[in-house]
Amino acid sequence: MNSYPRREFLLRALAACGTPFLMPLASVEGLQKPQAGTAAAGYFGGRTDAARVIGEAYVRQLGLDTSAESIRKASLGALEVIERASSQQNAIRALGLAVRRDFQQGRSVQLEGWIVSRTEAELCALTLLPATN
Amino acid sequence: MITDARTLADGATLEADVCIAGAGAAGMTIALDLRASGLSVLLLESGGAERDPEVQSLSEGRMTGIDTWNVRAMRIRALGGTTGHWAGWCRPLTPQDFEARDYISLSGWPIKYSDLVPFYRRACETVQIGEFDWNSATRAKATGKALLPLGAAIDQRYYQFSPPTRFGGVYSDVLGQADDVRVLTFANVQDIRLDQRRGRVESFACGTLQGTTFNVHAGRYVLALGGIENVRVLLASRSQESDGVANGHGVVGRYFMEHPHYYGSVGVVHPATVDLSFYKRGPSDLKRADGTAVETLGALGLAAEISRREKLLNFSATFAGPGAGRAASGKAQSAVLPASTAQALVTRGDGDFNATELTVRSEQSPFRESRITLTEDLDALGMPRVALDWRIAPEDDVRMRRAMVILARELGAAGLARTWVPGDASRFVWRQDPGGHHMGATRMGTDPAVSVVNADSRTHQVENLYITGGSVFTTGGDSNPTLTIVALAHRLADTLKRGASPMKKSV
Repeated sequence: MNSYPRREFLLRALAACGTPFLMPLASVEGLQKPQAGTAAAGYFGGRTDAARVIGEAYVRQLGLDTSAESIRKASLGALEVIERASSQQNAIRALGLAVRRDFQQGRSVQLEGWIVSRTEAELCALTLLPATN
Repeated sequence: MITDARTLADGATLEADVCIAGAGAAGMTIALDLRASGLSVLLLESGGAERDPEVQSLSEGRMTGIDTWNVRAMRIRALGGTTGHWAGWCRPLTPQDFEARDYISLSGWPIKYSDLVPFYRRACETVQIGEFDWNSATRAKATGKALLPLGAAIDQRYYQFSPPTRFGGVYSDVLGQADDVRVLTFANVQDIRLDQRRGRVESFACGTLQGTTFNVHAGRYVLALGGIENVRVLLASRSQESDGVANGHGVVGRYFMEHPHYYGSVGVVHPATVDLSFYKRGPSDLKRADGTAVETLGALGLAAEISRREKLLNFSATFAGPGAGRAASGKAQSAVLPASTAQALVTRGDGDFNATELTVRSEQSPFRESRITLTEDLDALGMPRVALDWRIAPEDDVRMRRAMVILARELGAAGLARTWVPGDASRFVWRQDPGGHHMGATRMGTDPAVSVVNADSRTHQVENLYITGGSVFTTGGDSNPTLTIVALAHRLADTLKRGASPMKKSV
């Protein structure tokens, strides 16, 4: 038997009991430490085709190639947010705040004509990573 | 009284205390104000009550700079002047527009915004808009609409719309009935004759297309012919001065400014839930004198502190609906935005979004090489035609790009939208369109080396010659100029009244 349903069942049961020290109603996926590529794809609601175009433009603008190493190098800010998050949901929420903060603090880049936040550009780049990254 | 100049006896001499050349918004406003002032007024107009192709052909000219509208088509030679096709957009210049900004060469009017406010109030009545109140928060609240929740870096603005007032239709009869105003139609100023000292105008030598010639003697003379024609008449008046009248420093015709309009260049994509109702043209709580509602349209600019700090030009951006206005002309570059990108960036995969375009109207910095000159071609009256070489200083493009990035950041920071600007940082590919606003070529200032008229709109070199209209703007801001033109005309009318010593000349 796959362990996910049992774990999810347990979590939901605990949540329903009002167990205070567990995150309520979290999905299995949401409870896992987020992966960079999947968190980025999740941030864009799965619209990775469009995000990839901007991501490619971003690494190109930085003079980098699209190797995983280069992409990670280009995306340190977004990676830090993702790695600090305890779940994908939290990562997406934190990334949204980081994007707003970027705009407030003047951290924007222009890619394919779009004025996007630095974090947003980095997330676009991260969609170029294979899903396992 | 309204008289057709073609019925005058050839060689006639007319006298008045004040002679105003040009019966457009500026000239008519001055004449209206001078009624019952004790001064006799002669108002000269090149056309008649209606547009006439033969008269209109006097405005033919060449464009040699940025491709702009046909010079002839932009101006109207008839009673009411170019208000005959005015779209009615009204907004005053901002206080900042009058200030000297060290990063814009030759900026800084010799008058302050506060000096003009009383005249703006009068201008609001003249152009039939609501009261002089430009507080967007007040307006939004009164009209039950919401301002976009943007930060302090954004200056929320709005336009009021005149009906629009066709000055010819609204004010010709009023002037025709005035005892002390004589309106002379089909009358063209062909030469400004100076006295021996060349410090005063002695007469205007005038003519009609039918060959009638006559002279006007007045105590004071006002050129209110429009931003191009004011220049043409000064430069073409070469009977005594080879470079034209009031042009000792070669400034007449230089520093020509427009309002560069960027139609459909900037794309904005926002969730469908964003309320843009304040930013669409519609009736407001403001009322005209006749009780009808004034339409308003919200716009976005940058706060003066931000503009100053970032060394930017003033601009206003209005939202155009998709496919609206110029977008339909094929000029809209943002029309090609991929929907999938908008979906990813704005709604992040889910939810409806709207793509719209910003129409950006901007200030340009005074640029000496942007100018009006005379050509060898002559019109039917034998006067040289103009060449209009409209140019924009290269640094203006950089400033506008920077301004758009700041606007985009503010929209992003508020979580309202993502913005698309054509080109990348090294490749500026906006296309400028003109607004048909002709400014700056007889600019106001204190230094005769770089200006033509002083703070009273009087020429530095000819003591009884005044110029008014868009051509005296020191800098142009981004607001449509008519309201300011009319305000300046009210102000000049008061100047002419003040200390006036009527010559008691009949009109």
